[in-house]
Amino acid sequence: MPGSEPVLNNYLIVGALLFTLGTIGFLTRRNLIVMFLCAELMLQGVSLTLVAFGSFHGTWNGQVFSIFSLSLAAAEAGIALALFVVLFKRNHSLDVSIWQDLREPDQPAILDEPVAETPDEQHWPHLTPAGLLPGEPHAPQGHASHHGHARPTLAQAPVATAGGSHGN
Amino acid sequence: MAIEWLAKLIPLFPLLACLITLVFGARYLREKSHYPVVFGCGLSALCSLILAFTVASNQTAEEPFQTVTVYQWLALDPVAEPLAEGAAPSSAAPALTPPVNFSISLRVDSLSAIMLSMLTFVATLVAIYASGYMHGDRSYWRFFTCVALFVFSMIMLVLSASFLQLYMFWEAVGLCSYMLIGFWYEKPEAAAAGKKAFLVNRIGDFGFATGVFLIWVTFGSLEFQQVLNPEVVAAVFRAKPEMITWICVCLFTGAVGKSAQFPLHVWLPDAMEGPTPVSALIHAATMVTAGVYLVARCTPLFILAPEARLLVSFVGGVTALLAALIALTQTDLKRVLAYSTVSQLGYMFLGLGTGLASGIAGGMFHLVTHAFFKALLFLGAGSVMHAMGGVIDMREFSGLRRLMPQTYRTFLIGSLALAGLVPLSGFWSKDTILSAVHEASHGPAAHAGAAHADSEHSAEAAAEPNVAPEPKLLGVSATSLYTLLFWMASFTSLLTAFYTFRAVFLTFWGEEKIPHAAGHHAHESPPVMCIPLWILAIGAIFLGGLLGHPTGIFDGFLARTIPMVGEGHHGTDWYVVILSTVCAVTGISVAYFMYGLPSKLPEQIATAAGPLYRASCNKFYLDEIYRVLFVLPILALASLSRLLDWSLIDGLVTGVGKLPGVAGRLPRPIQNGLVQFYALAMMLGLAVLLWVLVIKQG
Amino acid sequence: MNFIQKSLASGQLSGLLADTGFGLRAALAQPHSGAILRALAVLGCGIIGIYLLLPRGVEGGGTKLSRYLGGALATLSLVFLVTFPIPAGESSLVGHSSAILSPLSDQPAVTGWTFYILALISLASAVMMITARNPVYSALWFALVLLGNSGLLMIQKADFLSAATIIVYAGAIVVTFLFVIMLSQPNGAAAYDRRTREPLLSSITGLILAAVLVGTLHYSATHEGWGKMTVGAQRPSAESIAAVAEKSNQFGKISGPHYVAELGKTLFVDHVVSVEIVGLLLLAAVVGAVLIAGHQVERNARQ
Repeated sequence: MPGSEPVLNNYLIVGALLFTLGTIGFLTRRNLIVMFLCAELMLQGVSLTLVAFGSFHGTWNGQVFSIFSLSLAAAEAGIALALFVVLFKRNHSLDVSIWQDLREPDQPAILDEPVAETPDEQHWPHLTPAGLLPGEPHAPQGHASHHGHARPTLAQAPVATAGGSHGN
Repeated sequence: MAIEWLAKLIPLFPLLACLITLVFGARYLREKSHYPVVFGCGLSALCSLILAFTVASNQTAEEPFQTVTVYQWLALDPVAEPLAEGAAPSSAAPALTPPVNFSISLRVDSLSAIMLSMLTFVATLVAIYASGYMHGDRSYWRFFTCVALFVFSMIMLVLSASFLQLYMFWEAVGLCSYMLIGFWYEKPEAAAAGKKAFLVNRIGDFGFATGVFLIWVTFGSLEFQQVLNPEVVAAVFRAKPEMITWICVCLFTGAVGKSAQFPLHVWLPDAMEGPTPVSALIHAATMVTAGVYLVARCTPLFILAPEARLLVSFVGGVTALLAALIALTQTDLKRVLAYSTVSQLGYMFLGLGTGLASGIAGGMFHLVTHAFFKALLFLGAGSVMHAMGGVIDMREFSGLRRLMPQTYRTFLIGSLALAGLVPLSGFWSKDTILSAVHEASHGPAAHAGAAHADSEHSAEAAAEPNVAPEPKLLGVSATSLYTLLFWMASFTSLLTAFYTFRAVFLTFWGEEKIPHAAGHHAHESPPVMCIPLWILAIGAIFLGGLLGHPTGIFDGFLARTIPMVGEGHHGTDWYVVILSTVCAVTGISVAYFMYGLPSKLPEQIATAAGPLYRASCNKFYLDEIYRVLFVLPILALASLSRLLDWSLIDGLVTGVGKLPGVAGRLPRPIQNGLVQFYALAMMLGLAVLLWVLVIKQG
Repeated sequence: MNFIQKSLASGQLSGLLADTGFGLRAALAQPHSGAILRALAVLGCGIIGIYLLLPRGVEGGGTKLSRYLGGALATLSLVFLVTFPIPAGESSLVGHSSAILSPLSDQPAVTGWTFYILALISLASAVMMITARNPVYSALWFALVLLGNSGLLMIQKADFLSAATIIVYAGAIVVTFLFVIMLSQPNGAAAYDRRTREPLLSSITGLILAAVLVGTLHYSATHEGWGKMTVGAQRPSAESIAAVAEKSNQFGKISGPHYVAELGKTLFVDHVVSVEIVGLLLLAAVVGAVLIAGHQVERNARQ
């Protein structure tokens, strides 16, 4: 059905823009996970371009290549995430700027001045509570101290919640 | 044929011994390292003796020498033929590129046969002795390796058939000497002494090298066959008489360095830091006589250079007297012997310098006899030192004759020979020299005869105007100079007798006193050390009488090689004989009265002499003068150079080296370790590159 | 300063400006350079928007106003992509101006609008993803990007791939990401999520990169004529390529409506070795991930 699809160039431009956006994200964001997501975004742009070219030539090769890149991305994600877990275990932070030991030996480390906590940044989703309101929604401190007493309450709480959700 | 084989075998044995000890010594031979060396030297000595007899029976005046070519070493122009035998080189400057055709070849004649026999014989005995003396040393094998290398080098030096080869092995023996003086290199004095010997010898070697260059320029060849050919020399002499003189002076400079003559004698007493067998072999018997050998070998040249001969005699005489004066007051037994060696070498030069047949023969003869009795004395001193636990200061011990009878007897024989008492060998050789000097002091007639050695070949040479006037040195005529030298030499022989017996009396007479270092181990040396002493002692007794004046064997043998001049004056000069005997007896008697009997005389004389005594004690302050005149300026120059090197040149170099560092410091902050920063740089570069590529394309 | 005064004094400023203008016109007349500069103009406001949207900590403002402004600019840029006509330049082959994303006037309206909507969803989600403060949001926006992309793939008759993208990426990888984020950052945004490194320089880099890519593509579309070609059409100049593809790949032609079956045949007949290798790679990745993540690290080893 030639003629019924958008022109090839449009796909290529979308792919290029996705790649560029991924690049910008990779270069700016400091969270290791977000950086990795941005790398995946770049892969998506490339994948789109490959498929577009494959379709343009009327062969499957572009798609096959995309499938391979998809598999590679999956493998990469597995390894990378495992590495992130290890790194996080070491330093309790996913900030990529912590890992700058490979600089010149006499160069001072680049330290960021601390950012003030801006409470308006915290956008927690506010779901409408379903069913009964739990008595102590978030009490991790009390949890530890009243361990012995809390046990029966905890045992009963899920039952109540489940019942509530059922009712909803 | 036999000569050819023998000549090749003689250096081969020590070389093999050297290689064997070098390769297997440290690991396998260890305490047996002396076997190869002793056997190598022994075989070599055997061959040498056979060679000497063969030469003596074969050689005729028509064929005074034989040259055995071992192999062609350097042949840059193999097509070119060497100059025809006897053909005079053109008086014009030689061609810019004369055929360079050097070979390692061995020249066998009576001179080298004499030297070889003496050298290998003494070396064998010293090697046997050293196996006892050096026993238990940590570097036993190293010692014997060096000794074997030395013997090989010395043999090759003696057998050299060209000045180049001679120079090569001249340096090789210098190297061995350096290694053996500094054998105990952990000892700072030994290391310093080795360095001193090496450096002082460099001065002489510089002169020698210059002489070799001059010979090359003048003769266009370095082969003895060419250069020492009397006809060739005479032809060159007619063209450039002053050149011969300069060559002789330069060669003599080398001899002065190697044989420790007056200005350059300072290294030899210090060289006594080496092991005593080394002192006996290298610094008494063999290597130091290389200078004498060189001058004797170059007799055809020296005959035509009367001024140079006067210089040789003068330096020899002065050295003999000076060293004897210093030896009077030394307390170190080995040092006394060292100065005595210097003094006796001076004698040899004195004899050689006369240019008379008896003088040259006497010098060479004295070389041989001296090798025996001086090696004997040194080995005896070593024996004492061995027993005394390394102490050699004569003030520390006395009265050893009952403790060490063998050593005492042999040492006494050596001392008598050195003092020149009839009929020991020292008497005959010293007497020959004195007679020659006496003869030379009689007038220019002898000199004229000497100078016109080639008069029978060229009639007009007799009329040469430039040899007619009597040669002068420092404005003193030859006759008066020789008269002076004669009396100096006679006085020296008195002093020789005195200081030798001073040493004997101080060491072996008087109350028995043993230094603490010896402990209870003071004992007579083992047979392996005593037997060589006795063999040398026998040589020291009989050699002179057997070969010297009474029979005339030595003179006759030597005369075949060296073109002797003057009528072979073999008659005994009774005046000289009596004078020298009186001198020797006087010296011995004075020594006996001063040191043989308990007396206060030495102290009184020392006090009375005052400054003279102190000057003698301090070696006439020559070391100090050299230090101020030469060593300190050179050290200052070296410090200046080092300062310049460190500050200026190193500054430049390190400055250049620092440039990249400074340049690298600028972009260094870029390398900040942030992954994202790197990625950013990469991406920016990629983007810009893409743009540029696209624009260029479009 | 001195130079400007002198220019003013001599009345040359207008000349200077004219020169500058002339230089710009000349640059625009350059085939590629002109296209890139036009793309720069269109994408510029989008990049400025992204720069404003990016978290820049306290010093960069990061206020709501700037973020709204950035969002507006980015949206404007996306609209411009579709609507803003760009003169094709003097040496244009076709000789008409067009937007960067070519108008689809000759296309059936449904397909054209579908493409536009999906592309805009992808791009807008991507912008939101890279600017979100919270990594959880980033992951969720990425899931949306994947949805848009899978739609775009679907239009290109890559049915299997679009399904796989959703299943593998959105269903597995993004979820894994979310797991890790939840594991490591249970409190949501951390301090380092509210600031970025070199936002300006990165934006400029992205701008140049995007401009070069888009400019070149746009130039090709308008000047070489293949921009009008639809997917599935053979490029006239690429017969040789097609011939090579024909020869090397017997089953490689998209020929019928059984897309998934054909793809499977290609994948498991022509590329079976590669598939095996990729499978092995995945296995290795699984083993490696277990090994790495299971490795116990002493606490505070780095401090």
